[in-house]
Amino acid sequence: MKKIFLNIGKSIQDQSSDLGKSAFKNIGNFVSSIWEGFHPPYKYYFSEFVYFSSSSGVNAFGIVAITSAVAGVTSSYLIAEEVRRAGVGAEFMGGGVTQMLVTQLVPILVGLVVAGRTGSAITASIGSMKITEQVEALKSISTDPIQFLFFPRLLGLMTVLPCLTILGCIMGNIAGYLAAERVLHLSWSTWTFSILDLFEIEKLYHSIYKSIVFGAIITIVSFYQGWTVHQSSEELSRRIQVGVVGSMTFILIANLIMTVLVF
Amino acid sequence: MKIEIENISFGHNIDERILDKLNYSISDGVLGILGQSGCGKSTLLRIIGGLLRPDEGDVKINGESIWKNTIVRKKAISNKIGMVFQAGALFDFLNVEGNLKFAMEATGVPRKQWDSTIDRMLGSVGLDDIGNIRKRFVSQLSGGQARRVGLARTLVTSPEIILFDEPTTGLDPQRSRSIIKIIKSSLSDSKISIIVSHDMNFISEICTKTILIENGIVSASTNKEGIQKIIKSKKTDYKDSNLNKLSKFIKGLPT
Repeated sequence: MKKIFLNIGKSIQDQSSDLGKSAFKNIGNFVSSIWEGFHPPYKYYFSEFVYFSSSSGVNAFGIVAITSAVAGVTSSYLIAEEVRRAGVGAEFMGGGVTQMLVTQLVPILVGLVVAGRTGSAITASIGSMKITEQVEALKSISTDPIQFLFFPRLLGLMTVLPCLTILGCIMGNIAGYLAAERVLHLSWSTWTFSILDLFEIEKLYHSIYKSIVFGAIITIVSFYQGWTVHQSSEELSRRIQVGVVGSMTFILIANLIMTVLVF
Repeated sequence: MKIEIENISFGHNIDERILDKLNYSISDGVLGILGQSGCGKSTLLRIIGGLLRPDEGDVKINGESIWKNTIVRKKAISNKIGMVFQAGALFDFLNVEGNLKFAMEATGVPRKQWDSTIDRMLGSVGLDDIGNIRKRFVSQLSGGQARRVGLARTLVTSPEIILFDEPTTGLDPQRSRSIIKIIKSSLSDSKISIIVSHDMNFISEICTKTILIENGIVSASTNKEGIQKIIKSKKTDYKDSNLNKLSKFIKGLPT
């Protein structure tokens, strides 16, 4: 039996390309580094966490607000046009638009925007630290680079993304109301009562859970791409692209899985 | 103190090994490592320092394994080892003072000693006469200054073993001389130092033992007298195969 498995393993190894083998080696090294980070001596870099969370949150604030507002206006405007044509359903506008924004549009858009903005910054900073041997220098002075670089970023983005998602929901909602008011002359109270009547608060919790998962995906994918850079700035630019595309793809897949199977 | 390198193999690609079952051991003293570019000298240094996992083999410090030990013990053993990087590897998010303080905080130097240690160390690496040096960031330092700060950052942690990765490569003779002087004065504090360099004067002046890495293994080794004999003599052929290989390598002849 052992021989059969060995032969299967050997044939897989023979068939895989050098690129595939290197990728496996990179993943293995990354996973073992993360595993080492979970071992003592434990050091808590709270200031790193605060710095990363605040800088990534503040920097993404504007683009998240704009993106969510545009999503709110667009979806609300399209629905309002249909409502106006049909002549019924204005009282459901607020709840319907909010449901759409909170459950799908805002968490995905915020995830994609942060993957592009903060994810690329993570890959660039870690990759350049690898190229200039700063990561090895950390190890050489008894500092676990995973505890110092990875965990604060992971926790930071898992904290910031839900906050940005809530902010995006608020911005999208306000912008959605303005679009509905313009098309249907809907009052703020009608819009608000519709939300109170139709919107389930659990949907907001689901959205927050999703954004926590998206934060983890962005950090892991972007950090991995930076971590596996080998001594070349040309490689770094390619890694940044791969990191952003990879994060976005995994966010969409994770959203699909969570929407269908979990929430 | 003793370092044992046992059957170390490593390749950046799976089918290509730059180190192939390399064995060597060193007791107290200064070891120089020679070899052509890309032969695995710096890689070996990183494996010894616990920075890079070998594909096979192990390194033992005083009989205790680095790579076949628990992660907690590996971290504890690695704490005894300091490394000086080729270009300094300073943290670009910190200034000079921040780099030194970060190292001292990480290695548990008492906070009240920080200021005096920084002053002493910047003085010993010859940077105390540069105005406002403590507050300068990496981008405001020349290559030579960055290396000296990198050296100071390692020395403030007082490691028992220091690894030097080509500390003088790319520097002009004057700066190179000053780095050598600093390294020489720092050697007495550590029990074992390992130096990778192409600078033969440096190697012959400092190293008590020298090895040559070829084809992934230690192909030749000699003591201080052996290296000095090779450098002073014009002779290239020796009966002793170690001296013969080292002589041919140093004088740029095929081995």
